[in-house]
Amino acid sequence: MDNFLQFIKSDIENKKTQITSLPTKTQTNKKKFNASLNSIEEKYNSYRVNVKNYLIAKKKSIKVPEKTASADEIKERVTNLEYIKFLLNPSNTYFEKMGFDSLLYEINNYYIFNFHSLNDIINGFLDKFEVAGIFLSADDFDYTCYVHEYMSSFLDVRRSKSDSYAKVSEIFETIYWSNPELIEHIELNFRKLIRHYEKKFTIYIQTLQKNVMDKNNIKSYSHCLEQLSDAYIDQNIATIEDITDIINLATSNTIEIEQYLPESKTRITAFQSLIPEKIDLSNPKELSRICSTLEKLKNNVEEFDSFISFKAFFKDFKEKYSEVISKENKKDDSKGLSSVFQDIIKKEDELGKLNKKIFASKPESKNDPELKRQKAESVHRAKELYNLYKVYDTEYFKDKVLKVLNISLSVSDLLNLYYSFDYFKKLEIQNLYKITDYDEIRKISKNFDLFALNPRNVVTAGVPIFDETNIPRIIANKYRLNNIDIDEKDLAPENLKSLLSKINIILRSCKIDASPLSVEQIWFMAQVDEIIKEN
Amino acid sequence: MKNNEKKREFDLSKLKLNELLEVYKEINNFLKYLKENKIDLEEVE
Repeated sequence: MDNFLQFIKSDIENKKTQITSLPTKTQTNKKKFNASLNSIEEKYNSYRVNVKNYLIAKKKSIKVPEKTASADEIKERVTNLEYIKFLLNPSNTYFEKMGFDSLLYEINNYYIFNFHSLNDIINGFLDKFEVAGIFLSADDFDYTCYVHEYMSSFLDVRRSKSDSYAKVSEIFETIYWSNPELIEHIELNFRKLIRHYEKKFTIYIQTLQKNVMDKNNIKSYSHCLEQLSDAYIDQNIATIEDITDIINLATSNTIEIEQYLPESKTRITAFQSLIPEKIDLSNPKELSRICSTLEKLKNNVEEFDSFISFKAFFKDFKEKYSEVISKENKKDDSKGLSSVFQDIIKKEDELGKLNKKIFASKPESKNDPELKRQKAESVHRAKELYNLYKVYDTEYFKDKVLKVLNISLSVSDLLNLYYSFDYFKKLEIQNLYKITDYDEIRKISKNFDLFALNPRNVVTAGVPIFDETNIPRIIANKYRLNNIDIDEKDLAPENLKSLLSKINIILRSCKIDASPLSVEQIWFMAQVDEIIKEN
Repeated sequence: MKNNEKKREFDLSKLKLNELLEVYKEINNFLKYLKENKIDLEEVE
């Protein structure tokens, strides 16, 4: 016997033979049988403990290279600059910068999503007013007498800093049957207040912009974009997967490290499918060039994958605006916003006059038929205004679109447009994908933002909305010029996952080969971690 | 003989990484085998 492995195998075989030959007929036999097994078990438990300790010590002796750069500091810098970019975005106004659009979306869709708490949404609005130094009172909530009654109670609770909104819920119950659209009218009241305090909000945002720019030494929006671009480059370098990341992926079972062993069929197939035979990977210069090319291809494929997941967005936009593009005078289409806005102002003015009469009535005339009629009329007018605001929203976004609409509008431009208007982005997601779960919409919205902000996007910058483009062909042609064996069908949507998998296998294999560790060592570390977890 | 056996038994340093893991696997599987083959004396009675 040369080594312990051979000894163990042989010993186990012998012991099994011994065990099977032991008598087990009588009780005494059985007791002796168990005693023998116990004795062998004791010895083998001791072997197991010793071998396990050795495995752990052996794993610790493998020197893992330290992480080369700290990505956390750079990530913080990027997050900070992205916030400054959001604040300075010239496409939108104080309304979006204050975050009113997100709250508006929530209150607008309250009934669809069954939010647990209308109170949180209303408090959200009030918080934003207060941050800008505006403290609203019950008198500000005069859209209808019902809104006034509800919000008076709400503000009392808020002021008292109580957790219990029971009184507010009671009022809601009594009001609801006279005014089922109460929540919609609360929304309109907030809209009117936001418009009323536009100047204050604008000053607040301007002050915030100035402070943030001074603190971060940013001179303008374009300067911010330059800084952000540099930060993204640093982030790209810091976050490129290195050997430490690969080890973590292997030991956490995120990747199957066996696939990276030199004899693995998966590894061999990945290399053969993408790298032409003529490429000499033993030449460090060639290897470095191929890896650099594959990193770029990986980014492009991931970008294309994101593009596919939002293809419906771009198609819908194209269908809506193709006709407008072909019109000679687009200005005709932009007149709608001003017209509906004037209509809203006029009708709110009329409603205000009616409310003055209602609010002036004495409590004892509560059952007066004329008062009842006036209240019903105020609710009717508020309902009309609600529908008018829906038209306003459509015209508002259309107005923003027309400002950027042209025949060469790119996917990248459209991503930026929707990114700037959270309300309309979520509305589009809700309608296009027919989703009624708010968490699902938020998830898609977040993915959309990540796609819009992705600094590695290069393909979509050149893809026009109003023209057909064969993106797989463009990508494939580019990389064939760089000596990668790839064609259009590798980039078919159903094949992207497999393509990314092959690229990752090649990139990781090359990184492992260039590191002080071998695949076997990483595989060993992963196996030992499994053993530690089991026990 | 016993001393030599003891020396050989724990001389794991000569094993390759995959052989080390194989040793552990063999021991573990045998321990499972022993547990499964013990006779339940209460059942019989």
